[in-house]
Amino acid sequence: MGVGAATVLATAGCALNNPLREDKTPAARAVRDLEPDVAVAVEAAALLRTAQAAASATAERHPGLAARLAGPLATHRAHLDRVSAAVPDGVDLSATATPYVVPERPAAALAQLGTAERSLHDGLVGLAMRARSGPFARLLGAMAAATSQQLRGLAG
Amino acid sequence: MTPLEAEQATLAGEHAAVYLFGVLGAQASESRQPDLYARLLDAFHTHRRRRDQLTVTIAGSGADPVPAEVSYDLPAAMSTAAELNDAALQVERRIARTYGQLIESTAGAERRWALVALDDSAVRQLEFRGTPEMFPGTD
Repeated sequence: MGVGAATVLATAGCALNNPLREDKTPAARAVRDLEPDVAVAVEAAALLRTAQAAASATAERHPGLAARLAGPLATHRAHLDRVSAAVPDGVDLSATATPYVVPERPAAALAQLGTAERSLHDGLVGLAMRARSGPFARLLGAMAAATSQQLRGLAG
Repeated sequence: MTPLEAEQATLAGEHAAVYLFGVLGAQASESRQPDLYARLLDAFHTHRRRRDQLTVTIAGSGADPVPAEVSYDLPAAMSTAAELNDAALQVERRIARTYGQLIESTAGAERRWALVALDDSAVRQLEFRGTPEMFPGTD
């Protein structure tokens, strides 16, 4: 995976590139002085956890949608596993996800989840643009593309 | 791989995609298979547009864009709708990997172009009866 290689490349100037300027979470504190792509990975993990929490809450509130949400949930898990494996030991990725309120009607819940998935997609694309490591950018781009595929499934 | 090498590899892939989608479209019946025909035609136009964009980009950097081959190996079977879908899916999966390589090898506007292309290709794969992947565009 490319993050390891990237950390060797970029140790200077990381504070300037670090998007997590406040120490509100353990993950933010952990990456404060780390390499830029580690900060990108931590942000990706936070985005994925937020989307995962939204999909999980929706499936729990509307069991009838569970089968339809199996794909997005499995994809989030796989992506989180890959991002977690990419960061060095000792970096805390367990940032708390924002509470997610599920609409009462299934159709509205699905529509809102689609918005959340779209937000995840756009966030991953933005992170892929920022990544200094080519392989890590590719991974993030692949994750964004996979999210687009899942979005198509949600819409269908 | 340098950015230019990745762009040339992607251009070579687009040449092949344009050729193959042209052949696949010619094998589909517009009257009997209108949906499939429309999807193949859309793919042909998309890849032709991308080929032209890459040609301009590469030429603009002062390099000679890689030319198309005279012909390309065709899928073994292209008689039925299922076979045409399979062949189209294989073309999209192959070109998606070149977009992935382009993301990896570039930055800035070129990387954004590749991200959009990969996204589009991943969704297009579903239209050719592909199933969602965890990491489209990776090996």
